[in-house]
Amino acid sequence: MTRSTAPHINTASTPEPQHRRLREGLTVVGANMDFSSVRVLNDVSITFKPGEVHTLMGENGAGKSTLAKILSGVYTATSGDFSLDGAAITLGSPRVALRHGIYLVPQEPALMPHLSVAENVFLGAILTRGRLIKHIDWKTMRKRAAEVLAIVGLDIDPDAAAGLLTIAQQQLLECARALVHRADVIFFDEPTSPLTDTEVARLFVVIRDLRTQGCALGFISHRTDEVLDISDRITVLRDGRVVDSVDRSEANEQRLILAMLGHSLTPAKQIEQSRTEGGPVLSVRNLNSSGWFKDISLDVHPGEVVGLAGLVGSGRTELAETIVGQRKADSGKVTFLDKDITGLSPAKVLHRGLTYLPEDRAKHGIFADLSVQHNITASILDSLHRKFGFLNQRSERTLATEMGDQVQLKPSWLLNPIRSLSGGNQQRALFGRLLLNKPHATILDEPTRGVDAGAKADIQQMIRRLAAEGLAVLVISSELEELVQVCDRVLAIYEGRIVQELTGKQVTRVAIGHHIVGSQATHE
Amino acid sequence: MNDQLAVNHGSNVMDDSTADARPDKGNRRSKRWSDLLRLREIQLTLLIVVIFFAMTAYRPGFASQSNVEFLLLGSVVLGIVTIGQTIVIITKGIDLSVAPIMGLSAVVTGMLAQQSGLPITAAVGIALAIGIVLGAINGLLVVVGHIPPIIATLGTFGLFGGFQFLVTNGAQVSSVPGDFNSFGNGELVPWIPFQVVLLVLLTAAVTVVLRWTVFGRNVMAVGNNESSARIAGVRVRWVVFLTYVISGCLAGFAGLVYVAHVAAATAVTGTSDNYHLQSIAAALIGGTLISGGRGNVVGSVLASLFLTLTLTSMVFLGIPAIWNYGGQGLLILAALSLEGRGRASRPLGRGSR
Amino acid sequence: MTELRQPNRTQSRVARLGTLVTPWEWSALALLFAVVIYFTVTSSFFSGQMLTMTEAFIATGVIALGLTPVILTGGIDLSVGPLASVSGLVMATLWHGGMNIWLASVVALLVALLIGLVNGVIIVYGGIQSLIATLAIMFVLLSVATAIAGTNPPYGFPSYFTAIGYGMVGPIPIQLIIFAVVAIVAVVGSTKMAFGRTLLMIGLNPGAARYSGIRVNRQLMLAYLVCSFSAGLGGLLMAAYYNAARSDLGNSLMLPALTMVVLGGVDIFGGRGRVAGVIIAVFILGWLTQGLLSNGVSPLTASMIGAVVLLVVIGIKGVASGGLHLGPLRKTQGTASGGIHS
Repeated sequence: MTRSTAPHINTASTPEPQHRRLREGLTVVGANMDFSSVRVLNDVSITFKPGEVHTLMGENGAGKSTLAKILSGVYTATSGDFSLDGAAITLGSPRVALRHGIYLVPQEPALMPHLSVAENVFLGAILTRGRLIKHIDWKTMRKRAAEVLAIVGLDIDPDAAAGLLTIAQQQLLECARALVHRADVIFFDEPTSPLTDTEVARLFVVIRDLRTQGCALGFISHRTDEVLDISDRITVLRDGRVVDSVDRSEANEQRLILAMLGHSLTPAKQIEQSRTEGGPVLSVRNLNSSGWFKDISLDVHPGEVVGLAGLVGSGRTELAETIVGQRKADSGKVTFLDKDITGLSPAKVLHRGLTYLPEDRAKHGIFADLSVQHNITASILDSLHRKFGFLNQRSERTLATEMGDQVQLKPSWLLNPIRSLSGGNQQRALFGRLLLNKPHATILDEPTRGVDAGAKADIQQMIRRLAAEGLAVLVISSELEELVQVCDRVLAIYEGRIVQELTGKQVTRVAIGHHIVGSQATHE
Repeated sequence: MNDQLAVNHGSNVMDDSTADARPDKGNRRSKRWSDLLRLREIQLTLLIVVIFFAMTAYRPGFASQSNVEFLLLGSVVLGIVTIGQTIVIITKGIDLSVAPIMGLSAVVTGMLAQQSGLPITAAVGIALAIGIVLGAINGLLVVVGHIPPIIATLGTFGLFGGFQFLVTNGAQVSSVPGDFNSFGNGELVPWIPFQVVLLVLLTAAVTVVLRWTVFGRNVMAVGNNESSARIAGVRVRWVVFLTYVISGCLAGFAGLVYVAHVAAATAVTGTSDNYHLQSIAAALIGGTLISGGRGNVVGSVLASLFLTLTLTSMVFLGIPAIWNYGGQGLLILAALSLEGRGRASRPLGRGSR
Repeated sequence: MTELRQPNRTQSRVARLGTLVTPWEWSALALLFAVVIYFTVTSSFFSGQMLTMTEAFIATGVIALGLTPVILTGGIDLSVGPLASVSGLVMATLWHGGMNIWLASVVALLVALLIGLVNGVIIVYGGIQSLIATLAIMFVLLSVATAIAGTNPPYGFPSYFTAIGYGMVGPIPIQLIIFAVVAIVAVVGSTKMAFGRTLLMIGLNPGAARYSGIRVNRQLMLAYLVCSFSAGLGGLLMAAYYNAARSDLGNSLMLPALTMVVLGGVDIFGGRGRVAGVIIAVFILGWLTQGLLSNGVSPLTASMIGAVVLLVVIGIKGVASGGLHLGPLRKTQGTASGGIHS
């Protein structure tokens, strides 16, 4: 029954495949990609040379992810010529691309949560043995998986259920999968968004290693600092076209941002200075949740932006969720506007004026098929009542329109389903939802994750502006630069405890980075 | 897909037989016993043993040869159907039409045997053929028609049920020839009916297929993450289609076993006993997740035995027959509420290490 | 800032929940039209009997309307059939024992609500999936119904009661009037009140709903209460129509009711669909079945044709929207005690 089988490698009859040695690399000439009537890629020509990390930069929707998907066979280009080492190839399906040695590490790791790590690593390349009766070669898979996992630095039992892995670990699993497939051209689609600095460093070690081995590496990112760190060559896409392509030696942040956006950015902090006045709006005392965080105490004052820095898994999201009532604390107290709100339901907390922007937009944020307008008004439906519980739809429309204006959403978008909006605009809509509650304080969990550079700057400026207007803001972010830009104070969390508070001039990337890994030494 | 990652936050503590729950390399030696106890198969076996001995203590006649055989045979039919249902549920589907498929097979083979003396060997072929064809219809509806499985099999439930009525046309099966009887009730050794051995072999075969063949792993892959499986090269539509064919085939075979064992079949056989709902219940109690991606064939069969055992026990306890369903319902609720939502506590500050 | 895709006009229109008629509903109306025309032409009785025919399927329609909120949230209630029987039996038994029949009916509805409460608690707070929970409850209710019915289930209700079942006001059956009332309540409740919107949100993304401050558990409980109440009401209508209360009357109702809901454009996985569509589908399936029966087709064949219609319609929808639609009903909808389980 060979037809129903995924590509598999019979260990009994197949020797270990050799690493191809690429000479010229993967070349694209004149690629175009249309989704219905929208041209997403326009005459893109680019080469990925072996032994080189070639980065694709651009805003969301610029087409970089699309290009990578075309090259790895997930999409089929509308037109364009592709060649590998000078020989023309077609990339009709992921399987075909794999056979050519092209592999894509996707933005969302493709995980089989109930299957073992080893099996996940070998997805698409299951090992079998035996010629008469082909059965799964678990032993060899486990062994090879352990080897490959060690190479990428993933210290995990190959038999563990993959669903238990953290996002960072899933990313590394994807890298392991690329290795198993003996890929010569590997694309990484925004791999660093969910990773901490340490994890990014580890990933970069793996990438550099692959480069030394002669692989051609495509790296997709919009984070200029990382791009400048890892790349040998940088190509910037804007609106589906190549607008700039430089060697690393000629690249700098200004030039890259200019290329990506068409204009430069003003750092957020220069725009608004906030003042704190009066007592804290939100007070947390000795909050405990076993397994997540311990003895947390903090204050947020009106007009200030407090940052919560920490590694992924350090418990910040869980802390935020506990504060707003989505989780129950084991002990401790949360006071809001001088009233005890510990243990109140999320709905009640929300209605008192403490709002929360969840980390995962898709899972906890948007109602994909509903209109932008309905998404914005989602949490204030209770207050839109006329008599007998009827919804005041005219007020709803007005409120949504005004809020849309405030968060810079075009009015014509309001009635479209929110899934048609870019990540940045979806996030604006969610901000709108928060703000309609007229909050006194808000907790923002990774407010610019998955948001393109332009919208990101806008959102950061919006945060400063809101604080200047008197909002008390608690920001959770894994991007140290963002914390430095946006926050007045930063609390570093390590292993569930607040280990340091940094204020004013102390708030630097180095200092924050120091403390979130538990370093005891005093910072400079 | 993102829903699946909720597993990450320590949902069901009860384990399955596919993968170890702890990612750390250490700590494997300790906690052996509590791990075993967490296996659904062990839990069910313990339950079955406890109930059996309790009932025997109450009524020694419970442990008689005839009753034990009755128990075992009763669970065979349900067990076979549940195995097919389990495979379908793994791929995030559901098969409501197993009841009329089973019924049609019972009625057709039974009537042919009763009226035209159909030999058992031919009957097996016919039963399997009926199951395969009807299962294929389900498969086509899901894979080609893109109809959600619950609706597709809802429709075929009505359609095949109608066929069953048409075929019987008012008649019913009330007796079967000798070779049917031996097929259905014969024993290999005293106390162990032949069908039970068959079921055990079938369970073993399916477990092996799911674990050790590429097709089996494809089934698991599709149930875990359909899009990733597709990108990895699995022919998702073909795999899903086959699961419905298998489910139908097994339901067809179960129908034959039923009519051979009970020597009766009517226009409502299968449906009247709610085999579709019972098989779903058994699969879930046995440890298969309704959300797909994880299945437990051994658990399904044990759960079938468990359900049959409790039914028989109710009879022995003198509970009137009208409460059969009610008792089962309460049991299912109890079993599922015990599944609980134990949260595995994560050590502080795991970070990335 | 470029948007990746410009939504087409249909998408924009559909996104406006206040749209008068969605594309699906246009097709449904067309189908309804076709059904009516076909039978008017092929059967001499049909046009004259159209209104009285509704008496045979209004009860199912009421149940379908009650099922809709539950399905919109991504759940299901398999217990509606036996629940309807139980409701009728409770009423009949109390009346037989001497209670005023209207009072008995009210009690029966309260019992139905109570069962809905139990359903809701088990699913929302017990964390058991609706498919299996309502399956188990269905089993329990089957036994309960048989137990209440006993050997001689009551029948022969006073004529002012059975008037509900087959009485008329002019040319309009009373059942149809009752259905109209229920339908209006359903439409208003879902479009003019927050309830309809929140149900959709819960069906689309229960996690997001919770984070938006929606009292998800409360809304879910309400949905199950509405569903059981409707099932209870349907049971009473049936008892009035058949002038008897039996334990098996309701058993065969769940599938046709579910068919009506799905035919009405409600997505079985929740989050999409409108009550208006379901109302149209009630009449499509109802008149189709009754029309066939009046044309001499056997009830068996009629139900088979109903199944085929379901498969064809959903098949067309499935092929048009492309892609396999695998997936269970939504996982557990409620939370045990705090914490997020999406």
